[in-house]
Amino acid sequence: MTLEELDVIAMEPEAVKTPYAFNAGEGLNEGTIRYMVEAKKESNAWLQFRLNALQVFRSKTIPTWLPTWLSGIDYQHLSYYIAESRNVRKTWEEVPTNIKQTFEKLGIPERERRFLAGVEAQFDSEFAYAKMRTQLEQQGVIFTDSTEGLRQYPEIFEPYFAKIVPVQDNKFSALNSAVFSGGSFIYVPKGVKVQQPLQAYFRINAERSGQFERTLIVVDEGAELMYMEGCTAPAFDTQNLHSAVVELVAKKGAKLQYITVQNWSSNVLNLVTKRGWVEEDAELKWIDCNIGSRITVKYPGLILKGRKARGEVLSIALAHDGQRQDTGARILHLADETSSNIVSKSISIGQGWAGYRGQVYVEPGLKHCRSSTECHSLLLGETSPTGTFPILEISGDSHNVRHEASIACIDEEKLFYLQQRGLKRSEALSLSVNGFVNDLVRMFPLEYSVELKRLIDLEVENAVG
Amino acid sequence: MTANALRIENLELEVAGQKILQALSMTIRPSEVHILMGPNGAGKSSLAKAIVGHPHYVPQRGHIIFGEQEIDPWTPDKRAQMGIFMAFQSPCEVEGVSVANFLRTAIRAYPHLQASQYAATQFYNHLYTLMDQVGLKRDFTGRELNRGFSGGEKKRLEMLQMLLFQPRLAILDEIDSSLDIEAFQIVVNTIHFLQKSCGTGFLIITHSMPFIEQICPSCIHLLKFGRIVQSGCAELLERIQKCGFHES
Repeated sequence: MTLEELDVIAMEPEAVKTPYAFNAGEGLNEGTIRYMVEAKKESNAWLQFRLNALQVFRSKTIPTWLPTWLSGIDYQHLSYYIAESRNVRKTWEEVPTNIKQTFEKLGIPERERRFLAGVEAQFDSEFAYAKMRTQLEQQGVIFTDSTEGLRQYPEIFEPYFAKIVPVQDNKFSALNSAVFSGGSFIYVPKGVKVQQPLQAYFRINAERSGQFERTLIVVDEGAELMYMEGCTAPAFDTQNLHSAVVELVAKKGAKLQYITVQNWSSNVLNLVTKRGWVEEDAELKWIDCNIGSRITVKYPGLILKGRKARGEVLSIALAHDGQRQDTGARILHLADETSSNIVSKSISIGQGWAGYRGQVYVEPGLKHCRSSTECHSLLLGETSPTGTFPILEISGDSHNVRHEASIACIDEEKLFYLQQRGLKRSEALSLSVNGFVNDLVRMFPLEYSVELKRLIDLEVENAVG
Repeated sequence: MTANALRIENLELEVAGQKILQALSMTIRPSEVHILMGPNGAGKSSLAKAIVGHPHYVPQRGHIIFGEQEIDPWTPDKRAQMGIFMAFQSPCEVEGVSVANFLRTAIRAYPHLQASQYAATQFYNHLYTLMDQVGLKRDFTGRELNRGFSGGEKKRLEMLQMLLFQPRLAILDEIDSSLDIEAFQIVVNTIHFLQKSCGTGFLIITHSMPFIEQICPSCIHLLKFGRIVQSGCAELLERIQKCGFHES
């Protein structure tokens, strides 16, 4: 199969009708949590953890820099746990036909055959399918969901769970902690280098529902992993809420890349907390692309805890009319000779808001840390909004820290030049926008960069009509 | 009898309330090379932009007829696809877009080239031949479009595109400025090549006498204050050489 054919397969499926074996119903209260704990057969300790998190959630307000309408989310008219089954299938044949077709339209089984080491496919609150190549199982790699991860391997996951992103970190980390379900729990043993990526795909299917997956990845000393996540939902007139928490751990000398292609429909509120813990000489990269959702609030974080720990946050954000991509990065340098690199490219179309908000912190008393931030905004309309809000808190005089930002309107003369060579205006615009983000798109695996290009083309074409 | 490459009748152009071109007429037949000369600000580049359909240079009156058709309603890309090419004085730099990617995207737009039937290898073979012809090294296919190119390299790339798209009318706006001797010769050769092989008609804006002598024009037009004050050939050129624009 050629890339062009793959391109055709990856089309947006619609919502499917499916019976839900589990449904906590609308509303968020203690009863919702008790229903979930019962359905998932969790221990009393987790019931207490979740109930405590619910209290924290209720006590918190949303951050002051976000639009005030976010305070008006009607939490009582959403479903928090809705699952067609609690049975995770290991073959696609066992997956109910219409759910399987949804993932086929998204190209998931095809990619699994072509280049993935393992796939987890979450449908609303639980996985419909999960499978990893047996060779990785034999090497001791664990690839499971949050419920099973905590139940079967507490000694591996509990030391980190809710430690990197504490329950009380923010309102939405508390919400996730109260009602989390699904998400990838991965452990890569010492020295194991996973050659092909593991992928999770998150699909919201039910109207007026929330998805609260919880991901925790531990890459042990000297081990390597690339993990990719994709997400979509059918477009509903009502709101869906997606509020994930992702915690990553790269132990001494480990390498981890976490790649996201976020293409939620424009009724999804995407309020996500992602943070990684990086030990000595380890490397963690967040490669993040946000195209969909009504609003995305996401600042992938790095805690550089060991000497010579390295980290990168590379992000592309595109917002059209009615969308806000409030994206950025948060880097804490807590050890000598740590280094970080942030490159953010945002595209605002019409009145869509795409921008950067970030913090770089170097703890007092450290030596020879390096950090570089580059934020570039491209505006496609004459009055398109953007913003860059960097905070740099640097103590010490042996560090090398830089920040660079640029804002540019699309260059009409450039478009004219391309049109003079026969390209339609929309093609010229697509080519310019794809060129603007090209250096970051190249960081994605080939299959994903093709999809990204296609998504950007679609957005730009819709924008010019 | 083939149609004219370009016929302009009584063209009048105003930009931001200022009269740029007045009662301008000219006819370029296939394979003819027309030179447009004149002092700075006479309206030479404005005429070029009006012909290729720049949105800020829309004529108020008159006609531009290409082949048999009036091109007023055509968008810039339609004009290009129909066979009007313009080599820019300073071509734009486009970040993140490779020369090869751009050319492969662009060439598909030209119906007469039937490029959509090209396989990638065919396209590259053809491209490499033309690159040799304009003296561009093959690794230029991977470079970002015009980015970090020297003046001469940009002009060579414009010539490469002209060869690739095989226009019926080519407008060259000061293509000869900042050219080294080798690139100069390549530009001259490319003009002659297309003139002979494709019957391309040319409208060339230039100040350079050595350049004009090399390309043996069919006609020279002198543009002043938005009007063509004289058209002719060898004698006119001689007079301009002797007396400059103001006295002729």
